[in-house]
Amino acid sequence: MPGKRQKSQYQVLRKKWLVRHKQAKAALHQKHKEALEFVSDILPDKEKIAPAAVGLAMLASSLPASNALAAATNQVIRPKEEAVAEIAPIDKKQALLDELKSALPQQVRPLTVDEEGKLDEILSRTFGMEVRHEINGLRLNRTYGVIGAEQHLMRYPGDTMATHLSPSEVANKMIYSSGMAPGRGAWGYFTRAGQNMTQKDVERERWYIAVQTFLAPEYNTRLSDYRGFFKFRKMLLVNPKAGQAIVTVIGDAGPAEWTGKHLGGSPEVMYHLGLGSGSRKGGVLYFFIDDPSDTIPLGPVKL
Amino acid sequence: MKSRPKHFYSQLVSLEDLETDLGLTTVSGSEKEELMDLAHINLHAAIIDTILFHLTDSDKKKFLELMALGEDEKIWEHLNSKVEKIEEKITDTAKQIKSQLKEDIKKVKRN
Repeated sequence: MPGKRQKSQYQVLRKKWLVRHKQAKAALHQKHKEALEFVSDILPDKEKIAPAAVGLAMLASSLPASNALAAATNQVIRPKEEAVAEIAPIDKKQALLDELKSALPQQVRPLTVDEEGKLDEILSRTFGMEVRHEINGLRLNRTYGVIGAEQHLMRYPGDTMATHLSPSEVANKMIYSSGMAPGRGAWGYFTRAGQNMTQKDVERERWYIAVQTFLAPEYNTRLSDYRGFFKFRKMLLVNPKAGQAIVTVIGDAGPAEWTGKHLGGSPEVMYHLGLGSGSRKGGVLYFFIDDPSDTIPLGPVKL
Repeated sequence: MKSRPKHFYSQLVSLEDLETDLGLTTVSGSEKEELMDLAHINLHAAIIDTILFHLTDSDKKKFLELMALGEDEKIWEHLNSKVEKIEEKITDTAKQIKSQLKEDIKKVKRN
């Protein structure tokens, strides 16, 4: 582009790796908040810092001595922004809920293109990621629908409930009691053998959703375009009533139209959406996340 | 090569080949050091996340406490008693992160 200064290789890599680190650190703190805060409490006074920065402090031993990078990584959580986040987390969530209330219809129905466009903007701005109702002209049949509960998926041949869950998940009655689906997901096993399973495979199954890929517009006539598009595609799920949000992946196709539901969530997804008990279904927004570098971690997103 | 802080898992992972890849780009010496620092930070976060995933809440707290105190030997005693094949899990995560970072370097060289 004329007049536009091209970034150096250093600048491109630096930006990418800083963003990745910021997101990983936020996810780390979010997933293990209680344990991190506990350790912060018991450290000697001089080591104490604000709870939200515990994640950074726990990684402090790896921060470099160089002033330039120390300044850069401090920019990832600027003190002023952090202070604002500390005092106004409820406000941010409430602001989102207020915006969604005016942007969404009262009943759970397919949204118009204008409504979807507006939600692209609201969700991208709120969560700091590229949230889209379509990517390169490819999309699902809808973006606002009723989600129902799915079972755990077999990650590899021989995966059972005994091998499937972490110790804290076993202790979670809702996550444990969901059981395992008898068949594989739409993309087969996540890995060929248990010993080859990576953390990525674990996270994908944990945070999977099932969507009605077969109802995508022109699905049968555009199979070559859709091939590969849906498999493990990241999607942001938002509960518009209570504000929970999760970064998920498409791990299966379904549910059938006759069920009256429009998508399904793994036990972990349902639990973290606040739909883990009672009727175990509810209206949710589900939008694609455009993340070609695969830097956005899966799991709950905190506001 | 710049000397960086050692972690309890340092003997299991190495980013030396990443540094070689960076040497084939246009980044300067000081820029390379800064990027390597970032790479190490990214790796550290991923490894800690992997470890914490496999621990109960009380075991997480003990692990983090030992890590904050720098008790490497006790860390390994604790992890080996709580998580099967923890070393393998750490090296798998390191491999994954390294692969992502190498891919990023490949992409900037192409553009």
